[in-house]
Amino acid sequence: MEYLYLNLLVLPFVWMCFLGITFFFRIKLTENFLSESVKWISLIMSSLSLSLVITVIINRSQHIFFDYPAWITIGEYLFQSRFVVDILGSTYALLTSLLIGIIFRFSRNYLHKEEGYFRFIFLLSTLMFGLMIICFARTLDLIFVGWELVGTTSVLLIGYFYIQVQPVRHSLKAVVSYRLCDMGILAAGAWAHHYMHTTDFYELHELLSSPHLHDSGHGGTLALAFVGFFVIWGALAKSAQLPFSSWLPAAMEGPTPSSAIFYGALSIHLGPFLLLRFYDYFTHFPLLLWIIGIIGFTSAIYASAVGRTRSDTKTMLAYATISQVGIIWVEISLGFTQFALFHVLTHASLRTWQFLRSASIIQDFVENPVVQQHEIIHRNISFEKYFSEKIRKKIFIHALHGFHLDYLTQKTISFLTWPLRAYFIFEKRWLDLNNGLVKFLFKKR
Amino acid sequence: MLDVHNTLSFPAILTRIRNKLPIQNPLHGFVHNNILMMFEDKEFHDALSVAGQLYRAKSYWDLEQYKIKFHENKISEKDITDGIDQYSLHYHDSACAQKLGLSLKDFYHRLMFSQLAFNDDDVQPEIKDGTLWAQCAEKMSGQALDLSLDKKKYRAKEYWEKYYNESLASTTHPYIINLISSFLDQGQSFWANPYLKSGFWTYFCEDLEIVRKFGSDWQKNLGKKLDFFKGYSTEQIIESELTRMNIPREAWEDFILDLLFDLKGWSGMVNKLEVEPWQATVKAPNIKLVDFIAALLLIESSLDEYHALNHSTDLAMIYGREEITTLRSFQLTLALYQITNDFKLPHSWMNKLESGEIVTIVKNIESAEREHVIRLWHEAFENHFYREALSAIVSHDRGQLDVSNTVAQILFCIDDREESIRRHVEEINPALKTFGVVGFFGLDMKFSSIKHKRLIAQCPPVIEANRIVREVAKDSVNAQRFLKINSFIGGSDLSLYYMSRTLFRGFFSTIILGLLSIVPMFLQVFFPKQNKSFKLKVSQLISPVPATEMDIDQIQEGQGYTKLEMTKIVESILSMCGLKTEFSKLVLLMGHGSSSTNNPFKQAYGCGACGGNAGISNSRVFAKMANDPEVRVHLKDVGIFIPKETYFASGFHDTCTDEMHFFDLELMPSEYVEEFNRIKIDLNKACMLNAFERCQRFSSPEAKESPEKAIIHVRERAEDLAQPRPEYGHSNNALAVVGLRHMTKGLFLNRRSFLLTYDWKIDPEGEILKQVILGGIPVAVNINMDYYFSCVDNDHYGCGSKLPLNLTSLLGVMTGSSSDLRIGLARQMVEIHEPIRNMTIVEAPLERVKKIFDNHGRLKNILYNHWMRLCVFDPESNTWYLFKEHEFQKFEVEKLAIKYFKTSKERVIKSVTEDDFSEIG
Amino acid sequence: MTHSQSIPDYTVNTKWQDIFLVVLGFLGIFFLTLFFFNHEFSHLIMSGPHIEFSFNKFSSFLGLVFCLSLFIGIFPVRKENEISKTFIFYILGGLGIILANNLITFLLFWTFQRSLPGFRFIHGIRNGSTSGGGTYLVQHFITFACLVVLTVLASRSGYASLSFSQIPASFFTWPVLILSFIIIFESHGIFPFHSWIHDLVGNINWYKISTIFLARAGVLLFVKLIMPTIDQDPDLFKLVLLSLSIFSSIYWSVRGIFETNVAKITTYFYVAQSSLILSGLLADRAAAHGSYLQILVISLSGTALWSLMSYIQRHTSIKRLNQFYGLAQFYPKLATLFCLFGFSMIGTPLGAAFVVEDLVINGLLDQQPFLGLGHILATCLNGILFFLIFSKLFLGQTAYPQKIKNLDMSLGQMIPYVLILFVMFLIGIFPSLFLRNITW
Repeated sequence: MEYLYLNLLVLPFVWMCFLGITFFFRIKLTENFLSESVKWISLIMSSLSLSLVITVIINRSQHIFFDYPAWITIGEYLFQSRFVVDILGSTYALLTSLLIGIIFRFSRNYLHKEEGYFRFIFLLSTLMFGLMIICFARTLDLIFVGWELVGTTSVLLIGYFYIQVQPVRHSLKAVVSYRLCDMGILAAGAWAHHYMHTTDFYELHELLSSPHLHDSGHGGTLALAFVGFFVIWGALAKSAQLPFSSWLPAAMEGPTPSSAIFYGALSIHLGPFLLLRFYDYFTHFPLLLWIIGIIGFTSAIYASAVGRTRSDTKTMLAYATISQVGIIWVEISLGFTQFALFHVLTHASLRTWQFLRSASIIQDFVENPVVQQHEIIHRNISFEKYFSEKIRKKIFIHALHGFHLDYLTQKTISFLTWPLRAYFIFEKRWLDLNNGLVKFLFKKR
Repeated sequence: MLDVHNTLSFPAILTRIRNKLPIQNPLHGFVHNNILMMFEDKEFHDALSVAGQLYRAKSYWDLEQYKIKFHENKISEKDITDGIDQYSLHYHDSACAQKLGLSLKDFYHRLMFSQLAFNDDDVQPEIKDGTLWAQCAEKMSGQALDLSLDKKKYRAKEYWEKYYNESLASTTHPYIINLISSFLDQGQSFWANPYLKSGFWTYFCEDLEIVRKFGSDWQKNLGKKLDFFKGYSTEQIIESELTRMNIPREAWEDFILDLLFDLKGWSGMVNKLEVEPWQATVKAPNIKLVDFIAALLLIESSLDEYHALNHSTDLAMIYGREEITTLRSFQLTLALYQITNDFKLPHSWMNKLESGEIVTIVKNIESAEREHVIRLWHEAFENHFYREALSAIVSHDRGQLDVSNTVAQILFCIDDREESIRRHVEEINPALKTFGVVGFFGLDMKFSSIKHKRLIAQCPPVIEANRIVREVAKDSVNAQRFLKINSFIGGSDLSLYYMSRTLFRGFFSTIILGLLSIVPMFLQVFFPKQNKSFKLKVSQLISPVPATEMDIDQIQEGQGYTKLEMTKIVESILSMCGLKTEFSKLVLLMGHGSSSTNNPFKQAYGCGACGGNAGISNSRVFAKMANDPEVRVHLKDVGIFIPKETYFASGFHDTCTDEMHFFDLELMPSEYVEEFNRIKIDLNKACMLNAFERCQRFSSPEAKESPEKAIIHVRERAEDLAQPRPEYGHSNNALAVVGLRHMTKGLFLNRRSFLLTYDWKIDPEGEILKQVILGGIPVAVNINMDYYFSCVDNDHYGCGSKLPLNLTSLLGVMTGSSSDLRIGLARQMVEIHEPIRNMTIVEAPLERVKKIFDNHGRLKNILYNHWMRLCVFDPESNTWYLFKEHEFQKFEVEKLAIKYFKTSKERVIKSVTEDDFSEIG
Repeated sequence: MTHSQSIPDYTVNTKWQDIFLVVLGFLGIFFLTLFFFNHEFSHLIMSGPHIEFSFNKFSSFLGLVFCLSLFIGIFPVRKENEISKTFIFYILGGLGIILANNLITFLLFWTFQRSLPGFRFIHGIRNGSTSGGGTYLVQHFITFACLVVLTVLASRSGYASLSFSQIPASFFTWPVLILSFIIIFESHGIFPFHSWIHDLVGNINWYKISTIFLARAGVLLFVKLIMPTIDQDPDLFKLVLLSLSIFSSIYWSVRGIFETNVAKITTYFYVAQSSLILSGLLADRAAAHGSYLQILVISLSGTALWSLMSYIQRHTSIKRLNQFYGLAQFYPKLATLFCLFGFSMIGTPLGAAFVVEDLVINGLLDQQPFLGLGHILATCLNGILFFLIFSKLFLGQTAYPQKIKNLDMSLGQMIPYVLILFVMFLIGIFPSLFLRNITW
């Protein structure tokens, strides 16, 4: 059992380093070699994770822990490298290796003769390595390692066509959301260290449910609640929930398979995955579950309203993804964790399939017998029937502009940085004053 | 107000603008067009320079690409001299040449090989010849030359970008693209735009009413402007705004055009949906180009005011500014030095001229270098191909027409992709005679197939299709069942498309369909071919397509054809192929089309003559007409005697999967079936060889091994979800041969030529030639030019790479999440194409050809303005004529050495890239 | 406004350069041996009448980092940069500060190094060539005054010429703490006393500025003077130091994000990173180790980034970073180096800064849970600033291509950079190797 999941971790890491080394020593790998070796890697990975899932189901899906010597030990601080294999981690690993295998096979022809093919394969292998770490990590610090790797590869793949300006501008948008939210996980890890001296989920759960919590020098419930809140904050950007959902539709600049794998399946569902991992912790703080529920519900409503006005395939799918992930958040907050995992798997595969087929929408519509000429397609609108014409028009216009989310974020950023910018102006004046003074002193008479 | 026919009145300006906008159809009805069709009244090179400015594109390859061809001696010295002769016929600014004491041709030749780079200010000149440098310096001391672009610049856009890096595109385009793509949407979004009926302008105003509260400052300016213009009509708004910006009336047209060409895709589509609303995928919204212009104009002027306020610059100074770059005396000396060296002039040439004159010479040479060099190289490059093609066709020994043992006559389309399959068919079984005839078989019909009710025009867009032909099931019982199941499946597909993207129904559909979708994804990505056969079996089980026949008889006006009309159609097509009396027992009518998956440009691979659709219905209808005994009776008195035992069978060749299907076989008399099957075996062998030839251009190694492997690879390619290059389509088309098959039989043309059959002997007055040329040549030129422009500058004329494409409003594609609607072909479709203008070779008496070209408007323009090249072989006097300087001149074709191969397969294996033409058999 | 000026091409006289590089290389090796075989002469102290130098573990580490990063920073771009003669004085001043073991020597060498730019500014103002430098002179004059007062106070109770470690805790009364607080923060460029850095950029060459920062005067004084007796000092003092150093990192990042001048942005990014060192040192032992490592990472990668930037500025006429220049098409090798250095500095996993970030934040939070959040915000803003610089410089396509020469770096020039990168990622993947032998 142990060698199973270890190989899942080691294999992508070795493959990533191999690619890095060949790049540095100027060895040009041919396209065929790359696609063949990548095919074999994803085959091995899928079979490994499949057998892992089966073994976990056989011994009735309780957790199996694996501890290794700490990565960093200084005095009493140690960066524990602890892994766990359970139903949640192994199913997500299976989903990852399956979908990445399909995407590798898909991009063999799709990116044929592209000069960025090597870069694409390298970034997807780093993504795979990051995801495997997240699947089997048992401590928040390890999850942060995988989190950052996935964030960086996603940004670099949005800017795949780095020659044009728009993909670069949109990848910057994604960087800001990712960095602001990764802060949450780092903070949660640090506070957990400080208050509970461990960031291991299971230990945290035991400590919280143990009766003599307060006397053994641990922080108050407010501080522990904050740790939970930081985890939610960390999961916000990755699953593009409000207020960080304006970057996802703009992230559709990369090639279709990269949008499919990141924003259809794997990177978007890391938010719910983290919440499921941390679910035992949240059970101690009903308020946090309420927060998750509210965020999920509002982003679901927001995204589905805006998604209904989008007239191009990729942004429409992006908003549909946000609304489904919002529903998954609500499911987690209501406690249906098993169902939420099932919903993650189904949603990931459906969206990847819809992204990959997104180029044949015109063919589907034109060859569809129900679509008539010279007649607007009848779309069975559900609740909109109850609003009057005037209100429906107003809603449509607001929704078309994404309820002005970009404008609101602009306003908040300029509000938050206002004091600093005021200080910059003051400082400029102070510099000129000094220059004037010194000039007066040292100027030759 | 100026009256309408005054050229400066707004309606006149508007019509001129409409002509210059891109003319691409929505993608479902994509047809290859010469995107500069409206510029065909200008000479080719002039039109390209005008369009280059408009589209902000380069209209030729880079200079390096031609230089590489030169070093690979794909362009020889002879080609360069011929190219210069051809070019100097029309462009002879010899003023500059005389001053240098050179002949015009010599001047052009040296210009082509000069490396003048004197306005690049930090080029470090390695001065070898000190004295010459001193001499130039002395001549040029104190001189200055300003190279001002003659046109005044009225748009402030470049000014803001150059000096303040305020890019208009990043601020205003996301806003306007969002509006226009939602308004033009044909059904892709779940909420239809509520303003479709009330018009774009009301929508634009009401939208701004809300957005100005949340928008940035320039949108507040825009809001104020709209309040000011409340109640005005959009024409009045445009006129008053332009006068307010005090732009002179003459500059209005260029200003608005430049404004529209920022979003050339969307403006072209707005114009198309207003002028030809029936082209819309579903229903054209109530939009007028004037509204769109007004919106763009107001946005731009409010943004200008916003920037002017921020950067405190005076707008009046920006509108109508002159951009001048001045060359100082140092650069002038450098220029003079380089000119003397590159042009190998004697040092003393400049002594007699005083420095003012020399400055003007430098100015002329600089503009000549900018304008002529790239064109000369292009002419030379094209010339190489023309010489090779002509010498191959001239030196091809035709042998005599053997009409003897023809087992079957096969009518293929004139498409250049069919050239290779015809060659393979003839090699395998010489008894099969092939003909090239327009793919829509002369049927100007709107066809509605049994599967879906849409009326699709199956004829070239030039012809007005007004007849309706329906595909009717033989027995109506299981037809009703099929229609019911079919519309049920269609309805569920459509609602599933919308439901899976909404909230609550989206939830349920994800739960139910989620895991199920892994199966089709896994199958289609890993095993495309098995997936196709599996899908066919399933659809056969659920809703077997009933046996159908074509209802072509005319019951009431506009429905089907009368017998007389049928005879007229059959007569025109058969006479085109020169078939009057000698008919073999079997005549196969091969329509063609292409099947590919996940490909927004599927329509671009279809049969150009059938408006981009598959030619199946055309061949079935024509076969039914030709087999009709009554029609055959009428045909006799028109001079076409089809023997009773001749049977017309309808077939279809899929150019992507290289499969051949045949229809209505149950109608075929039983004694032919055995003969027909033997022909089918030969045809399948030909398909395999054809696939093998195509696979040499693809890069997968196992497909190149043998025809058997090639056919499997090619069929897998058509079904592969991830294949951006299912086939290379019309790449490398450059030739069109009008004449009998024996002119090109046994000649390997490397799939580069349209082949139109025409027998000059049976057409004394040239009536048939008129039909053949009118049907084929405009289509060939359209395809050639579409590929030319998309290949030459794929980012501006074409639509860039296929990878980030994002389908919008069922009309077209955008790159990434929001961009301009992209026109033209993708990079993957034109990556192996060589941009060469079409050369047509006609085997017919000169008079006939001249008559046709002179009294047809478009053909005249294309020919006289060098959009194509025409050579005529007069069989009577056995002489070759080349169209030059507006008249036909006799010319002697020099014979080049040509390689000889036993079979096409051998030629294909041996040399894929070197020379295109070789002898076979 | 961005015009394309022609790029002056001139020959660089390399006579002085070779001498400097040899001196730096020699010193680097000397300090390296010192650092590794330290237990023999950890107490080696050279002491003149009042001057006292100590070669203990920390000083030799600082010296090693000083020489190594300067050598590796200048060596690859020596053809592009004209190194002026006064550079030797900067090096001497820097080394003097690093090795200083008592207040007087520190005062002496500190004034010596910091006065060099001062003279340059005065000279510039006198003949009207440079307009800046005013704040630099004002602030350094104030700090010089504080330093003199501090030494006078110390000499009154006889500690002036005493080596730092022997000064008893009782000496650190409130006025002494305030004075040392001002001196440390001013010389390290921390928030309230930081404005002099704005003057440095643009008037002084980048390698001279990096010598001033690499001397780490503020850090040295803090570690030698304050650190041993930190726990006796009042908590308020530590709190103020901590919050100000974190806030200054946020200040520099936001200032970098809103700045467009190319040279200034790199300096702001460098200073934003280095002001986090102090916050690490203030927290507990683990965080101190983190800052120790951070000094190594920032010095090596930071100086490398600076030299790459000087290489770019030499070959292109880029002045303001207000559009996407798309240099990656012209300089692919340079772009990859720049990107990898940045990743190893802002804390992407497998990079060195990730380990540092983790240590410092966890150590810091054990002290001040809420203040630690400020540190996390600072690292996140640094990351955003780096991505902004990288994409503005290397990605995208400029509408008006500058006169860019396709002179990408030769392989020879890249070897030193690749060496540092290898070290960075080695730290990132196997941190315990380095942390084990970092002791006080």
